[in-house]
Amino acid sequence: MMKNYKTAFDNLFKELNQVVVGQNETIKQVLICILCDSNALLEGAPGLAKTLAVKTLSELMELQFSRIQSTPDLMPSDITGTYLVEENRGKREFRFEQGPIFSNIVLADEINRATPKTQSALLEAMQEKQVSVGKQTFPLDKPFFVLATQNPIEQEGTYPLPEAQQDRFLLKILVDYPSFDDEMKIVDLYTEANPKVKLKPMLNKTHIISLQEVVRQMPIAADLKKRAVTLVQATRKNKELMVYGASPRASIGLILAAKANALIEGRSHVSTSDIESMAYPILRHRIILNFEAERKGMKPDDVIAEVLKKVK
Amino acid sequence: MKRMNSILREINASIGRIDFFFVLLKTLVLYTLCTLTLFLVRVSIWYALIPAAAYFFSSIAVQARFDRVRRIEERFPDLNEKLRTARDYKDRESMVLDSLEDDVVTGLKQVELKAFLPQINVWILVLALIFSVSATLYLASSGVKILDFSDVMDAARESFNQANEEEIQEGQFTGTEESFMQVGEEKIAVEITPIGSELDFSEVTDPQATFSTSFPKEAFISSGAAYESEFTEDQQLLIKRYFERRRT
Repeated sequence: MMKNYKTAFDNLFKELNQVVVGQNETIKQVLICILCDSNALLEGAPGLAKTLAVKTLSELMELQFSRIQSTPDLMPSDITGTYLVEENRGKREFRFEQGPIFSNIVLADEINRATPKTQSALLEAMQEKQVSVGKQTFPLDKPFFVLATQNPIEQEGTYPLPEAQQDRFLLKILVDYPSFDDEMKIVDLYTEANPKVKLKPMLNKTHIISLQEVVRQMPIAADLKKRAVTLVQATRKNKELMVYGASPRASIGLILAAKANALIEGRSHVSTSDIESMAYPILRHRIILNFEAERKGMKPDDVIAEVLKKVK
Repeated sequence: MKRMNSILREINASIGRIDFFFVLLKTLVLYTLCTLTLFLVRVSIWYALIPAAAYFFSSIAVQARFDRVRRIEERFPDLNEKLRTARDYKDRESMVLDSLEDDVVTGLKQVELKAFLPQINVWILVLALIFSVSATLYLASSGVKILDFSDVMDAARESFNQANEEEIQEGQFTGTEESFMQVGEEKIAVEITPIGSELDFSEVTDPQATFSTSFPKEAFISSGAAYESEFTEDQQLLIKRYFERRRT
């Protein structure tokens, strides 16, 4: 049975690679977020095919995709939707016009450019999986997944997400530049004859919802579970390099993400490698380094590597 | 997972039997080597049971604490973390767990029990056992011994007694109280009166023996004047003459 899942995911990646090259790790982590029924924060320089990757993924999964370009003048109602007065057979009545949040995959581009009020509206929808406008509450379609992007450069005039808000994102995915070979392939793909690739949907909503259930059924050995929790706790105890460590939400996220990773890998159990590989995207936005770590020029990933070495 | 319970029982029983055999073999080797050693020094060979039993029970206790599932995982990397996970979820049911169970069963088919019984070690132990038994039998028939432990013990006991006696003879009056003196390791109460002396030996086990060899000069009181005062001069002369006659 697990081999069937593996084949399905392999086919998905194969199809995706026709359009997006060299971002398999990023796409895999996005997929993990979807399988965990959670959200992701994507950080990377412009031009790394973040939007293209997510859009292609939504096409392959037959999911509705919408994009919100965050700007300082973006209002919460621009995201959630608003009531419009509509005339129907001489009668005027209010009709709710759904905003871009009513979708399956929402890409909130450069979320740190939106005002805190708008960020809160989006984050509330992420958390509650519903939108409240006036006195009415509108449930969001399932599956629902928000992918917020942040630009690591040009921080002027931005409203960086507070740590408490960042904690709501399951993973912080770092999008890196492609390798030379991959970049050559990208150049070939987009500079030669423009092939209109017809993507074949590999999954649908029902599949994804059932896969989300399978993720929660994935077994994890008691000692591995213990190690994951010890790892998260170690971030709170290590005052040599960190001011603040990760919350228990990180423990939940780490185990869940490890389970999803095992499923994508086609394994019927969670292994140590799943925990170790997921520790970085799970913890990097949940820890705050202290001055000593900053002085040493350490990044969150370096600190996580140190913690991983200590927690065996 | 329906089959997992029986699989785990089978694993525990099989590896448990191998462990028991190995411990038993090692205990036998230890016992025979101890027997050989004790035989060479002429001590009762029953004493060899003590280290053998101690080793046997401690080893069994240690073996019981070993995680046998982990041991299988260490030797068969294909089963790494699978078997542990299956053990932790043995009483649950789901499609994923069924798949895990199938993986475990497939992996266990490659597990050979001989992997847990290192043949070289077994051969070494068997050879050691044969050697020690043969050596014991040969030495028993030829009467070879390195030393006789009972003789050593007798000699030691004798030298100890001798040393003790010497110590008593060298005993000095060390009493800090007027009525006590130190004789070797023992205290004797001495009471001195003007016309004689009384000794209280109640604290000594063999007071007369100790007294005869160790009673110091200081304890004697000369009381000639007192004896002389009891005989008249005529009587003294009569006695004197008697002894002179006896001398001649």
